[in-house]
Amino acid sequence: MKLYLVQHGEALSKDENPKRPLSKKGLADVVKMAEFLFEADIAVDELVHSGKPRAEETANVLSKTVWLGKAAVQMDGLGPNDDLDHLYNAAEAAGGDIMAVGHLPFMAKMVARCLTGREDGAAVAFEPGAIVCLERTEEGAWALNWMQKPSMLVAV
Amino acid sequence: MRLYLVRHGKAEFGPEDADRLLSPRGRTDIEAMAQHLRAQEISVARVVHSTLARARETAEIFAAQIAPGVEIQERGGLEPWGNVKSFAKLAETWTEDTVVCGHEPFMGEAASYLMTGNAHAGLVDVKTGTVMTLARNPYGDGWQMRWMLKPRLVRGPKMVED
Repeated sequence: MKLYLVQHGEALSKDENPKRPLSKKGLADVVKMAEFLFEADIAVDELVHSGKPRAEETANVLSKTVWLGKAAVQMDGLGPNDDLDHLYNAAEAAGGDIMAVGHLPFMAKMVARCLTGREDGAAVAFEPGAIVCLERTEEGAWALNWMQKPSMLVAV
Repeated sequence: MRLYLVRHGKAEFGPEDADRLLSPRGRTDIEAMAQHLRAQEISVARVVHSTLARARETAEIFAAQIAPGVEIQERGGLEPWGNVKSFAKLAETWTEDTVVCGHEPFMGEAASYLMTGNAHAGLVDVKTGTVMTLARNPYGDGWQMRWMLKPRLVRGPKMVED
């Protein structure tokens, strides 16, 4: 079972647009990530987002290649500073692969918690649009499977 | 400084473990990965490998793509049974971007140790041909994972042995 943790793409500032949708660069980055997932032949069974426009937009672009273009579903408990338990428990109980699109610091803490049991136990370098793939073994332990980010797809 | 930890590609079977070379599939995987790094305009100043042939061959392929003119170095202690703490001490002394080609469980334990101080934390799932890129953590002690990819992700759809 895999858990894909995604930081939304770069968004406009509050001053530019109070709803903070994706910026043009943010959208281009997320499209690159969607292409990467397509080339890598990756699909998921569930695609959720925090409900904030920048996360929803990111999720719906990624959905084009990993979830048959279906509209991603809003899930509670994915806000930037929410408690990790909701997603953690959902992932532990999941029967298939889940992709969750949200925010920092939530996503970084979630990676650390899965890998070490502690929110500050390990550091992975997120950036807007980055995807971290964790896999749970049959023994129930989580391990980092791969991680990719837009800045690593500069010259495709 | 970036540390690229690479597990060798899939190898042929053979009577002498140290002499086993990459299989055709292993070479394809490593070449795809090395070309992917080159396409991202990555280059390194140092390439080291273990004393085993499959790691040397992996290092040669990476060097050809992302370390032109750099002489690859053989180094004991990167074998499957290598000492992770000694390696971490060595890595702390490096100031230039370095590719290290070695084996499991050593590479996974090295990554776990650099990130958490515990070699047996089991943080990473390291398939053959995987590249893990670490850098010192700018916000704290130790190292952070910058990115991590395996050949299947840059080479396309699943194949029989994936």
